[in-house]
Amino acid sequence: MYWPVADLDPVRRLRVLAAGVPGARVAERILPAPFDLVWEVASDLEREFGTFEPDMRDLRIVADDGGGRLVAEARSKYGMRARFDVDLRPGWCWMQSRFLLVGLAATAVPGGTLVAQTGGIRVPGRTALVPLGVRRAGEKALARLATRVAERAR
Amino acid sequence: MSAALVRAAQRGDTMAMNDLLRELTPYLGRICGPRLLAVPVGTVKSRLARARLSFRNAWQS
Repeated sequence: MYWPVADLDPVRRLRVLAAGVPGARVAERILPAPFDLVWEVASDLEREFGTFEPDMRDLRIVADDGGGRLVAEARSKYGMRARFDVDLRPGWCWMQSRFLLVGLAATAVPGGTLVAQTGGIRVPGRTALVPLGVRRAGEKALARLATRVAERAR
Repeated sequence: MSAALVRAAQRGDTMAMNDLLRELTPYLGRICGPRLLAVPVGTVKSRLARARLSFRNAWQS
């Protein structure tokens, strides 16, 4: 017997998670490139994270359980350090440190790849982000990701 | 699904929210799939919007 099953693609999943975080905004953009290329860039955290996430300079993976859970140390442009727990899977990256949250998702759509980004500065002790500039930061990250994908495609 | 994971999500741990959503999605998908097939597309969209609102409320309750 056929039993229909509804599923959430990564971008829809990101919208759901962000809906549960007050202050979070989701920026979305369609990149005219295949999913595999987009995700190759987006998931290459050590080489690419600092190229598209505003304010981030570099990131180093310090632990990897082999099943998608990582621990990463990142440094901002201003020298501040953050230790992130990371859930990284095809089309999905969710990163949380004590003070920062970054979520990135991608799914193939006609004409390219839909990417979505959320994140910002966490309010200590609460499920919330400081709601300042989060949408603009997300749009900036996706614009820079689009540039990196285009460069990688050449 | 562990109680510790639910409590962590309610305390504001978004990694725990991420894990819970991953765990619950297949279960919810099996319940929602047949219901979504049985109604017109417009109704599906409004039900999905309601479901997102429910998630928002659930995280915070």
